[in-house]
Amino acid sequence: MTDSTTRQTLIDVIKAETLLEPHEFTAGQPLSEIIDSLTMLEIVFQIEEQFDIHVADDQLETLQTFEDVVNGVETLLAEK
Amino acid sequence: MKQRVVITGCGVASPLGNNLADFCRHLHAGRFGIRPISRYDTTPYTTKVAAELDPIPQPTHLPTQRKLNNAISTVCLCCAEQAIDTAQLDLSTYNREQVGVILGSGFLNLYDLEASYETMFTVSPLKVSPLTVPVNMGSSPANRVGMAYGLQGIIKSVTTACSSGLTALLDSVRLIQHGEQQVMLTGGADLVTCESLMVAWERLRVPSKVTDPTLACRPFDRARSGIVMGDGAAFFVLESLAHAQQRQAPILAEVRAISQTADSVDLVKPDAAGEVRCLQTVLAKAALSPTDIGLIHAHGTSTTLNDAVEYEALSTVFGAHLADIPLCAIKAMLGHTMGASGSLALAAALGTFQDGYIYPIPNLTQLDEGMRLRVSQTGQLDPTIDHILINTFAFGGINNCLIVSKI
Repeated sequence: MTDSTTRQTLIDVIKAETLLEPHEFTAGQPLSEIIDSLTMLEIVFQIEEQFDIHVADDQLETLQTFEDVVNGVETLLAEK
Repeated sequence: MKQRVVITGCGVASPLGNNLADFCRHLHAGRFGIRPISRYDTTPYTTKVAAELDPIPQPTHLPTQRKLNNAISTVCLCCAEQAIDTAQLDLSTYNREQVGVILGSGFLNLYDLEASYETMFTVSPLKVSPLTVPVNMGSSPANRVGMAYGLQGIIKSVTTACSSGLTALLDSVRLIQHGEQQVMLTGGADLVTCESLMVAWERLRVPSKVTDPTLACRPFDRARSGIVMGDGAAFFVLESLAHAQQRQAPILAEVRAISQTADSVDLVKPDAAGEVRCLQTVLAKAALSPTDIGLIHAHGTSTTLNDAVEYEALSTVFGAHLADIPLCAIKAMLGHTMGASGSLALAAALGTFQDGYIYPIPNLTQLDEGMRLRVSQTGQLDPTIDHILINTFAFGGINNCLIVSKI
């Protein structure tokens, strides 16, 4: 999977779970300010399903912004 | 001083209709919500029919996060929305701390948890949704109704097996009577036709093995052979009579009295003495005599023992007069909706107050030996009924009797 397809897949997942438009969550603001904690858990669950990866509890805390999510997923994909 | 409590709104979700009017029309016509089971393959099992709620009805205009609503929460939201609409209630104008929700349910979220367990045991624990706990905790359906309207009053689920709906009503009535809440949304809901729960009932040897849906559940009939499981829910808006009159609300009935007793004898076998105490208590609380009751909604589960014990209890309290009072048992058409059964009987009673129609027991062809009851296969019309008695006698020996009155 290329970087751009990873990014697009993540946008699709978050958009589907939140009904937010991409510009509302990709501009660098903390996701916790615009997405509630339960929805965030569901997003992580969907990401794990889509990419066949496992996000550990301590990694979860590092996923503050959309870019953090992209970088975190790419790191996990590279480690596969 | 206790305030008089009235019902001003009602919502229904059932295999016989997903609103009060349709539900009552189908009961009136003697239609059956019981059908061959479609949710799973029944080949390995002896239970072949049930009253399934399929599809699960959705609320029509309530904005909610659907991912946080499991099936039973969705059904509760659907019923609560109808109840509030029919009560012509604008909750946005109320002090939100003065409005609460109490749900009664025998099995709460088991229907929805089945899928989570199936995923865990047959796929992988890592595939279990992270929303499993918040969505399926016991209080969640009541929470979801409260959250849909931003309510901050008393919100909880109560469970007393098949009398749960009337237990929720009892708790809610008290809150209104004593002025602790201004408006209550209350009801019963149970979704029980999932395979795992159906199997558990089958292992208890309680369900009917009859495969003809129209003959499977036959309360008080000599040929009765067990219960038929059913899904369903009904919700009500409760408020004080004074409050309802002040806002010129449509008043469907008064909750005249409601009683609860416990047998504390056996976990599954009913005890006539406990049921008698419950019947006597509700009549005393209502300050009514047996001759005042115009219609009895029997618990009428269609098991050999339950119906015999209920008859014994009714005979003890009503004496020879029992044979003069019309009696209906809607489980014949609706199946046993467990914790929702008392609530759906109450919804049916509200229909009778509106149109005077007493619902039939369409498959009752021969009363059990020694039973003298006024029952009808085709239904009866009696617009003079002022007081209706509703029985729910649950596993665990927890009994609830309710008298609702025309107002």
